[in-house]
Amino acid sequence: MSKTIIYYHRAYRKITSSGRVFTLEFLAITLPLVLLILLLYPLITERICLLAKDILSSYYPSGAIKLIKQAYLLGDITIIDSPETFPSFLTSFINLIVSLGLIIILPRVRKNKNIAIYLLYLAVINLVSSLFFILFSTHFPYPAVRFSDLYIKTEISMWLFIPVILGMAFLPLPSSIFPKLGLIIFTLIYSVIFGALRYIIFLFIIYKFSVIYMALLYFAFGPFIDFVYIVGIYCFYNTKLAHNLKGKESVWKWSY
Amino acid sequence: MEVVVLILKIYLVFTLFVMVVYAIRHFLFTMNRLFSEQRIYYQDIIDSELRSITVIIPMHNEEKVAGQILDLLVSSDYAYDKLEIIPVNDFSTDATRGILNDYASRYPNIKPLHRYEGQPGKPAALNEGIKLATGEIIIVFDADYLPPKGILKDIVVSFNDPEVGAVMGRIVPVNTRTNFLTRLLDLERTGGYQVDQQARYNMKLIPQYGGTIGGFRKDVIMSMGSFDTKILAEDTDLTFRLIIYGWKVIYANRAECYEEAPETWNTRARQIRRWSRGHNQVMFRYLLPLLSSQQLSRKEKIDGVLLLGVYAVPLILFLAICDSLALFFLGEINIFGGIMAFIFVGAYNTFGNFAPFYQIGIAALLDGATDRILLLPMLMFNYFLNTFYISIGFFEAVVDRITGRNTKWTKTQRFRNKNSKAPQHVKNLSRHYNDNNKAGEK
Repeated sequence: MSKTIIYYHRAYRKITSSGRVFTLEFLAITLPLVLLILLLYPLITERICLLAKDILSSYYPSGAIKLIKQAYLLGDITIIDSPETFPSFLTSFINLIVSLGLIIILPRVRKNKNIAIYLLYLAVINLVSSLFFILFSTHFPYPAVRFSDLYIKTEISMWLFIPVILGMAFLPLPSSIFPKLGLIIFTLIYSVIFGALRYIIFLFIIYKFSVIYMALLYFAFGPFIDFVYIVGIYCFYNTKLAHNLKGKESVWKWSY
Repeated sequence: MEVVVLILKIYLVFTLFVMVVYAIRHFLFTMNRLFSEQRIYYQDIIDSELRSITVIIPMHNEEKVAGQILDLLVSSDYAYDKLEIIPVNDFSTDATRGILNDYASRYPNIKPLHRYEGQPGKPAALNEGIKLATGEIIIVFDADYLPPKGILKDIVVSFNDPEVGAVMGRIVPVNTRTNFLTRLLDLERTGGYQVDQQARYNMKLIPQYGGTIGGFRKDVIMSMGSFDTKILAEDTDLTFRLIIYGWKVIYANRAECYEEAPETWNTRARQIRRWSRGHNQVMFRYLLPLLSSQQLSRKEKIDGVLLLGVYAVPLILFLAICDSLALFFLGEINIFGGIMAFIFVGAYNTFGNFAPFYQIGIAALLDGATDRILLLPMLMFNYFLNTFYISIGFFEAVVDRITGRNTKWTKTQRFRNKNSKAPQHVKNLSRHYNDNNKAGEK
């Protein structure tokens, strides 16, 4: 059966846009967004902490949650000072045994080995944490307030980074600038909301279930998970675009 | 303790530096592939005087796939009297020997070599195959490959350029739709070839000869000495030997050939561990000769160093994870106000050492792929698998370097049904090989 459209072969096709247009768009979108975040992050952190305080108050003793302001970058950030629970020896020991068991079993898993190795990574972190609390419990350097400080600063870094990395990823794609700008802003808003909810859950866990899980929360469910949804949003748009480009000859060029 | 903390922090800064360098490299490749002039391969040259070639196919227990590759090679459009095929039966204990003898009885230009003495493994098998070869150009295929009809001509035509020492074609998994793993591997391959290799070819850097779907000059390899049987990545070894001596390694993005991607995680883990061990063996051997070579430009040297370091980066990151965990429990993770911790954890996922998400996304778009792009976030979980097995491979290479021990080649397991014929899309690729009408999406 003959084809109605002869496409450029995939080996040497490229898009009709140019590197110069990309650079201009990148500067036009990324710089204002980064400046906007630098302007708004004191307000955003304050709102996140107020929300966290509202939600967590019913689970903590009265007056246990305080908001603290401190200088960071160009303004003041707000963080939560809340109580935390230290693990008992038994809790640490049980965690140690469970982690050891997982470390022995997981490398032997044959199916979905990538997930198994990821879980192994979690088990190793938990093992280190358990050992720390068995051996040096009194030296643990992170009361909840220091964890809050680390978490909020990491979130601010993420918000600053999103326009840059998504600008690099989205803007070369052959489509109008407006949906791409919309998606970068959407990702930022998603990150703020997701980051706020995760903050509340993290604080709740280190109060109710102890700080033994703090390292696990930070290393496994912190920025790593942020990258999963960032890439998820990117590939969702890229897939939609790929469908739209089917049959559109004008988008492609051949070699030159 | 303060000194320890300082060292840990310096290491984290070093890791960040390495990541940023690789990020810039990947970003430049992606932008080059998307916007710059694409350097076309030599396939439009029509040569009336075809060179004599020998196709060598190392085979160890390849009864599931041996028949298919031989069928496809004998039906290729290369001049029959210029084509010699040497399948090297490398210590097979299954029906491979019988299959090869059967084909040899039917096709005079198939000349099997049965090896049951000496050292087993692909480099040793290639060495013996090359000794026997009468062709001017050696073409190598792994046994699971499904070469389309015109690919031999496409590969060989580049050797009309007297500077070309080796050429590499594009690998495309034939079993992409088999399971989750094969779909992820297809994405990795897409990013690696459609963007990475082509961009390096465009920028006159160092495209890598990959040990299959490619060829090299017989007289050159003979003059440089045969493959070292202790090196598990004979392809990377050849790439660096050639470029250090001033030969060009080139990439043919148009010369596509199907392979069978690993279908189980264990097979994949073993494969990537072997690649890492072999690649790092090559890094230890050629890093200094590369830097001191008079034949290479500065940008080629930089690219060469980064290419050699590709399988060391996961170990650097693995150590950085341990480092940051130590800093966390020492209460010192908050260096640079948390920015470092964030960038470090995200570094691999964003920049990666193979192909970051934007590189794969662009490659898939150029390929005309659609829904399979949705799997991109799942590649992040491969990071842990890759890091684990690549790190093991690195340490094995270190021990190899120190002790000079012999290495044992571990063959990649095959999954194809031995009675199956070449899949329909392979036949289609052969049929339309010289047309420019392949729409993209497989």
